[in-house]
Amino acid sequence: MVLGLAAPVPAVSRERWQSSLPEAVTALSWSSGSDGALWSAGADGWIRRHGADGSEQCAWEAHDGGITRLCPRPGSDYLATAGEDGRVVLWDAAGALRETLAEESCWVEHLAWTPDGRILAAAAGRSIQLWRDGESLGVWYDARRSVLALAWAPDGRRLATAANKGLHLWQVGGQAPVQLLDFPGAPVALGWRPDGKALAVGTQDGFLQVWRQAAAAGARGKRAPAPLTMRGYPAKVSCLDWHPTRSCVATAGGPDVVLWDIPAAGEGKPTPLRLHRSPVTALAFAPDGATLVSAGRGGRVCLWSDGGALLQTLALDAEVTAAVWSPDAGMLALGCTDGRLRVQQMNA
Amino acid sequence: MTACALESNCFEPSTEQLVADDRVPVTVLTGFLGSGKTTLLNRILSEQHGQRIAVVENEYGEIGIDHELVVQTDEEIFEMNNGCICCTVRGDLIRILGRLMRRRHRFDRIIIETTGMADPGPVAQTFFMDEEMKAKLRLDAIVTMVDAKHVLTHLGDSDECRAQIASADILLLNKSDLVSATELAALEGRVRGMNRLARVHDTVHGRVDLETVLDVRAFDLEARAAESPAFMQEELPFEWAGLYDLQPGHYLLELGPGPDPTIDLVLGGPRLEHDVEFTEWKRRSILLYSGEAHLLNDAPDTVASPGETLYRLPVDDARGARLTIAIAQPGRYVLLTQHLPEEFDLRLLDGAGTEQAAEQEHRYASPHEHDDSVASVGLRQPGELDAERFEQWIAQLLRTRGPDLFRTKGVLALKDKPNRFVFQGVHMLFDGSDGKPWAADDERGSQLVFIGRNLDRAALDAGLRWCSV
Repeated sequence: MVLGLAAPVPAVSRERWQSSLPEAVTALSWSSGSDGALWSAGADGWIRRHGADGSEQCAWEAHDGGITRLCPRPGSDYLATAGEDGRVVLWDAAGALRETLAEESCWVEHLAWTPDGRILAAAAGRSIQLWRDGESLGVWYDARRSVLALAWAPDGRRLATAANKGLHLWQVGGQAPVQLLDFPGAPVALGWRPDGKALAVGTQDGFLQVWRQAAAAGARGKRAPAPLTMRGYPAKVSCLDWHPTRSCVATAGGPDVVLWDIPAAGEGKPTPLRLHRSPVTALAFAPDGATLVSAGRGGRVCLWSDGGALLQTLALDAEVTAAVWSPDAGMLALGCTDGRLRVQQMNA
Repeated sequence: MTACALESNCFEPSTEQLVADDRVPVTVLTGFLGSGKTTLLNRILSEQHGQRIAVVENEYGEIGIDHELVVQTDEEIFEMNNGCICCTVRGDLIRILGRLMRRRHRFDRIIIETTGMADPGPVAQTFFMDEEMKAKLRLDAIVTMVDAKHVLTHLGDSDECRAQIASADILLLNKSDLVSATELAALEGRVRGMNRLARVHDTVHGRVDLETVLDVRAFDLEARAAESPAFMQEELPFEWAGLYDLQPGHYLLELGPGPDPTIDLVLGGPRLEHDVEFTEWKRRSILLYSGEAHLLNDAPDTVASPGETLYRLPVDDARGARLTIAIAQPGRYVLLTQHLPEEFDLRLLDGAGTEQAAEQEHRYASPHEHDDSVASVGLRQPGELDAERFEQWIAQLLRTRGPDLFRTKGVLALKDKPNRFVFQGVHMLFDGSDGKPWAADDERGSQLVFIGRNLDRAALDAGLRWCSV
């Protein structure tokens, strides 16, 4: 007789704090310590450190023009930044300049530390530079093509770089790529599976390609294995992220998010997640693998289970440029083109 | 909306852009090294127009630009995997403009300066092929700067130079002070022959009104749709018409040596005081020009008289030519010439040797193609077209000839449609939408212009006629 009310499904996350920066947020990164601090980088060239409650702890103008990349060094308290002014700079946690590593004439668009924090790689135009403890390990240069993406293998010894129509694998210490993976398109996104045995590339003309290391690699088989090619995206595949433990890669092209389970051999199995109405601009698995966040140009943010069940949606006012999880997967930071910065706390 | 002819068979009018277009306009500035692109750019940037302009400059710019928001780029072409060579885009622009758009409140428009050797095709295609670029930016126009003094050399030996002229919405003949009026007129005739859709302006030191080059809305079908359907210039077999008031007696037509060994002309009149009569003569002259020419010998006593004859006058490359014209009645006459008078230093003298000034003159786009592999072909088809047939024909044409077609524009009368259909293409990409409605007393008909390489007018004409209802 009594109409039973279903218990409301508890939201998986709630807002912890938000803040508004003067210009677009271009990059976000959680501090590698356990203090819950968040670094933000802006199109105005400023770096800001936000405490666990959102209070601004320090801020400084790091670059003339926008900041393209913000990379705290793993296992330490300083950070590297790259900018449209062509500089690569190391800063300490209070914003004091430690060292200017490079001053290029063009934008430095890519920057990444090895997982152990020993080596830093930066790419500007057609060149890739490496540093260890502030010492240059040399410059790799492709005379014909610009570097479109780069990613360190989890072992920190191999670097994958993407250029039009191909990927290069480099070995630290070497002068030339040790392997070249040719393919017909122009890459826009690149990511290693966490075991370092597969590499995924999203392309400008809307397909995804995954290379798997052959199970029984021949003695010195440097021949590129045939990649898996997955098509059907309505636009360029601009975001991808591997699940931390399963062989599953989350990808987005246009408004479509697709989870691909990639077996050791044979075809991938797709799970499409279609809820965005505008192109997806940020995509990330939480470090514990339980949750996936996707966020789009229209400001819609979706939280999904790792199997693709929708858990929660949020609506922000502008294009989301960054969505990053804290190392313990307890917090999610979101940054937008209107300068909005929002941190969601995951409910236990 | 925009589709590639390789991938799409649908020819549906666009329903997008019903809301106000708040995309940032982009002007593409092309031209050979030394044509004066940077001078024009600096002029645009330094003028007090209240607009904030972001500049994307190729890394080999002629002279540095002193401006707050300049990004240097390294031109990089991405080919698409669908095998369509027309679907190439500029990868560097996608990255740079994507990032630049995060600061869109800092600027009102973007100017992209290409290198001298760049083909504007991939730049234009970037704004139609990449979803993000299409959503955030609007290609306003391709402006091509031409060095009036040196372009003829480049035209002869450079595909890129021809592509830049063929792709242009606005053609600026710069350094026009360094060439004679005759040379300038000849150049203008030649570039108009290649690209009949472009607006052509002479400039000195890149001096041009900003509204000439900014906010042109050349790719905006809505703007096209609002225009009168007669968007294309008449294509006539003669370049010039001069109207003279003449008295009975003998006149002497004097020509200097010119670019061709002969010149075709028609003498009409008298009684051409009114436009209606002149228009009628123009019409008759078109027919005369398509018929057999009466070859004059270059004997000094050759006399021509007004009438329905197409004269072909030999022009000696040292002495030029002289032709006596006998006039019987006083009145207004017309002289219609195959080339512009400056090209041959054409003069009309009376019996006393006094030069006669034309009371009126008309200049027409160059009809002949100067053996240029790149040219414009304009087609008109009275009556209505069958939409299905047209779609079939144009899709097939773009699929097979896309690489050679720089620009295509058309205003069509489709059967049973109350509105004009406006159509445009860049290589294999095409886009169409409804234009102005037809009024009851409008004479329905379609016009199409193709700008391309090695175009076959007869085949194009036959194709369009096949679409006719």
